[in-house]
Amino acid sequence: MADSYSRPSPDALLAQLRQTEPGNTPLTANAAARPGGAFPPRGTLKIFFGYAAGVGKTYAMLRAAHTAAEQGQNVAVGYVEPHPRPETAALLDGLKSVPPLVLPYRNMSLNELDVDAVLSLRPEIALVDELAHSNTEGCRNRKRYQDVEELLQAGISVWTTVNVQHLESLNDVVAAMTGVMVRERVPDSVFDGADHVELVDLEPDELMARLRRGKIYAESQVQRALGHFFLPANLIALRELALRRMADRINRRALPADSNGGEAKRQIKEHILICLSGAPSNARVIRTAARMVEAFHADFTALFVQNESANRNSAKSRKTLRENTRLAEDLGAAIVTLQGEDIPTQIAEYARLSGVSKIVVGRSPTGGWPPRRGKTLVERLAELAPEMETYIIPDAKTAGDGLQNNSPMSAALRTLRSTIPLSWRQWAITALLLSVCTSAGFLTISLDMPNSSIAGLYMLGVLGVSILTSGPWYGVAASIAGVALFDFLFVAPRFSFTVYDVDYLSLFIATLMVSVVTSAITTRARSQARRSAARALHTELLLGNSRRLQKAANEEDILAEAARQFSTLLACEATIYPVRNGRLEPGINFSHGMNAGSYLEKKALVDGKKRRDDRAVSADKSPTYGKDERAVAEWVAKNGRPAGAGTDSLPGAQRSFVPIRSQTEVLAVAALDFHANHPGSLADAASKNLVLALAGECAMALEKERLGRANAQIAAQAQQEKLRADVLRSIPHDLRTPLTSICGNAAILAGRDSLAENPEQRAQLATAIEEDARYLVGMVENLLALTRLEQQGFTLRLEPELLEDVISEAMNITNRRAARHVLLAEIPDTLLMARMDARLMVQVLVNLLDNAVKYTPEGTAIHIRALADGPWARVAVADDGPGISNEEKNHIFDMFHAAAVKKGDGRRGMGLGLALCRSIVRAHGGDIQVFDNTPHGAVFSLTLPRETGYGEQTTDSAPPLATEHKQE
Amino acid sequence: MPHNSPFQAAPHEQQAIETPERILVVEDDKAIRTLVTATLESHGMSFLAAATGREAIAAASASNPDVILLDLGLPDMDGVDIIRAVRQWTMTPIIVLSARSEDDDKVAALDAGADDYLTKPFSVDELLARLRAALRRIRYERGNMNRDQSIFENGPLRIDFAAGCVSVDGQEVRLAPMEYKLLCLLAHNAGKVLTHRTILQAVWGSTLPQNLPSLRVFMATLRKKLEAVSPQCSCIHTHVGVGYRMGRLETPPEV
Repeated sequence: MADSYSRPSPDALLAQLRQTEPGNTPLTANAAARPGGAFPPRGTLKIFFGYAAGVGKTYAMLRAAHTAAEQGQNVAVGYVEPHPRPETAALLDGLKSVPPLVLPYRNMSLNELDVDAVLSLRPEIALVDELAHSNTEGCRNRKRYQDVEELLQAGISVWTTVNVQHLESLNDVVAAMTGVMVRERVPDSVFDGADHVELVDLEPDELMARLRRGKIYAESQVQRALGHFFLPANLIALRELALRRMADRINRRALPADSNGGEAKRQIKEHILICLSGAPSNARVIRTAARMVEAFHADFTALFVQNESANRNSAKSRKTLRENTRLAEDLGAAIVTLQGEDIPTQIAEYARLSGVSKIVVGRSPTGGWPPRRGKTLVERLAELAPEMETYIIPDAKTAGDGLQNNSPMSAALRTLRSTIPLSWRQWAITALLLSVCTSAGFLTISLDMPNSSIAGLYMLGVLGVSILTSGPWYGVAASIAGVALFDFLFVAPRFSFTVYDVDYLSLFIATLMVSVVTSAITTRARSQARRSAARALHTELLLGNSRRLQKAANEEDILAEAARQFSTLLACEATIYPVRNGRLEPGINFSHGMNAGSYLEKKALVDGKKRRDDRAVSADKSPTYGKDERAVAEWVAKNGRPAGAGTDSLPGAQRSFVPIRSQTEVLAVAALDFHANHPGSLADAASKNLVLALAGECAMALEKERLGRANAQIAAQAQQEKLRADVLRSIPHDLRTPLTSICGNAAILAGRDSLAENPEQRAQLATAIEEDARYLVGMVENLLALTRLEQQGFTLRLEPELLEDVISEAMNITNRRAARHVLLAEIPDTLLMARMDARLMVQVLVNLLDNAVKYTPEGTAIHIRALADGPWARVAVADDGPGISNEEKNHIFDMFHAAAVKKGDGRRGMGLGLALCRSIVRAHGGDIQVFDNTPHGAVFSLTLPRETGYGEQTTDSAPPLATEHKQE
Repeated sequence: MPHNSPFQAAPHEQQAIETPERILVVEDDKAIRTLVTATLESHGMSFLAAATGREAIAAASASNPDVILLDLGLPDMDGVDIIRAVRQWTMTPIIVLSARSEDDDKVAALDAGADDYLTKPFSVDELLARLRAALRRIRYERGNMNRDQSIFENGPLRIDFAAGCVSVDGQEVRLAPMEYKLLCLLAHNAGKVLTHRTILQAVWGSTLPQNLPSLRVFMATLRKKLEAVSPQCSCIHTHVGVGYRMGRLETPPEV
């Protein structure tokens, strides 16, 4: 064992264990990410573990449940197998129980766990017996451990029972020990990922005694059990296995192999590779490899090489291959598919490139017909990759059932069957070539050249046919015809089929062989070329897609692009439903117009011509899909796991549903319709990988988008905070100055000073107080506007307002304050309306007018103009005062910019006014700018979004109705 | 002018003598109360003062003032409740004083039955102007109790409800049906501020915000039509963010 790690310190272990608190451990190895966050806190899984039926697991579970219930926890019995053991059955009393789901099966009814009932009951703890049970058809999930996973994800803790023989990795070990092959299995990840495992142990003798007393099985079954499974040797072995597995589990939990804990990182990581095949014995190899992976804490890869012959395997072996692939996945392998003709070369290449340290293979089957020529896989591997350690797992049965159909003979027969020649074009080519050879032959004769050259000509012709046609038939036919023609036309005696010279026979045979061989070679070369072109296109598409996904501007674009990618790469119809706040929203649908033909045709679309055939249609529900499909989508959104066709959950659905999820939440659900009888589907490992990869990319892009938006919001909030802080800092200072003068003047007026005698002076002081007070009022209004703006988060209550109304209000307010200027309004289009917050906009205009009043000499005119400018309404306040220098124009809207005013009134330069104006106008969606006025002065111009939604209903041709008037 | 004149004016009685107008001032802040009462006094109006809502209702019912000045920020009762209580037995003009720059409280008060509003800080001139407008209105109404209800006159504007025609300075003005409805509504409530909501409810029958742009447009065109004939007929005032009001004019018209 390559241990190059040291045991972590107790503190590190503690930290690690805290990390793996209940709620953080994934249940299945298939889960692409850890659930948590947006899902409710995960329930805890407690397994009562035993080595055989009857040790008392269910009993222990029920006893513990009673204790928990007494302590006040909410316990419910989800499903407990009806036991013939009366003590166990008695324990069911007193516990809340969920009625089972009754499903018809053949001519019986079977009881299954009703997941929905438990979910709606929401107990703290649910008891579910027999974790390894396979559900009957009609249940949502195929296996009970998937039901349990659902419950855990919903936050319900589950207690369950399982026997050691049900563990996947130990399956063949148990089979070897006891001779019994257990069908119902639970992935090891479930067992290892459980939060608590309680070993229920019993001495084997006691167990057998119990059995004899009839406490485990009914009488009739006792004898059989004793004879088969419950042999003492078996029981002892199983017990040991169970104990060892418990010990292993403790080790595995304390020292995680992933690079999670800092000190447990290792320097040299082992990487174990196995090869997948369609043979049933492959399963054993996979399980052994999985055990090795656990032992070495290694990376696990399962490789499958797709070549010509693989495509011609029987349906049965393809099915076995799929099962083996799924098994490998369940055991934690990464599945890799390669294309190539020569399997050992591919394996060796991959092994070298990926840093594989150990290869696990099954011993090549012996027997079968014809006897295998050449070297076995193992020998070839040894040749190609001598530095690699190869482990050979012997077969329990050699040349099992499936293999017969894969012998080279049957494969060849299948090839021949599949290439029956029916193409007119290829026959035409054959005929053409042969006639060319024949005419060349005649030419040769007339030139008095020997016959052998004619033979050569025919051979050339046959060669040409083999190259230009596909399938061996044409070549064979051409060679026979060629030979016949040669014999008939050119071999003495001419124009007859008899042959005098026997040498020609060998010539004929040679020609035949040449044609067969050539056609085989060219066929293979052609398919190879086609496959690598497809592969190249595939990769190119993936790269391009990744780029396109990153470039998509908003969430809808991302989803549309992802739907397009799913549909294009997998040749299916894709609909993606975004999930917001846990609810499914209408989906974006993409159906690729073309059938899933050759990739090369699609390449033509990619190259240049834009996708005119593709349409992205926003569809809520495709009319062909029912409400059930939507229910599956919602299930996927809630649980974050794939479901639908080709999966273990809700497999009866028409489409396959894949969640697009980040670590913590499901962002969208992709529904893929692989139309039936299509090669690609979720059941196929290569397609599944592709689907998961695409889903992952889409999830990343979506997450990036959402995070970006959240960031923007946070940035906006931060800016607001800064604004508020700035304002708060400057308020006291700017309030103090006018207040000082008010206090002072008022004190004088109150008569404490002899200065107050003169009535003129008194009037002056009073006026000064009034002015200062007005200034303060203006400032307070500005501050109020600012707080109002902030309170509403810079989103305003916008209503359509006539600019005329707003402008005249602003003018009234300004006139009240300082009537020494002339305010003129020019609004040519009196019905000009814009969406605005009236009060804030009045404030803006008042600010602008005040500014104009302040900085221009008395008596001059200030113009306000409003006009329509496309979708905008433009308002300009123009004065003919001294104007604003270019330098200042850049800063004038900055907060607290104190302009160097000629009047020298430093205190008038709080500068809040213009900065506030800009904030308000921008919050409306417009902007404000300052220009020079001719011949001098400044023009402040702002834009607002125009309201054009009103119809022109004011025709005044109709007279008013005589009798209608409303009484108030 | 003596305060608290013993002469009680019943609203529906025709007045031969001009009685001094009595204003009920409801304001909890002493300084503002003093300011207002001093102003009233200096302009020859008698007044009553109350500092809480309860006092206000009691005073209103006991002494029947001509106009009520009501501060909305009273400590014990919500201004809207006071208005509703008072409106149960009298149509005395109520002018509300609001300290907030938000319009919501004014709109609520107007919808509950107030006639006009002032925003603090207000100038004394504004206060007097509004008071005068309110007093004009009640004087007109008291004086014209028996007059023909089917004719409305306000300065140069004349509406004949029976005939359904409108004239300004004698010249007939053609209005679209909606404009006419609006004008009538304003006329019936001359001197009162009508909130957007009230107008929408009365004329359109619903308060959907989609109708707001139309309301604005109709008001603008209505005003244009009236002013086209007589520029002095600027009796329709827009209160930005709150509503509209037709002011009672005396020749020469005051703002």
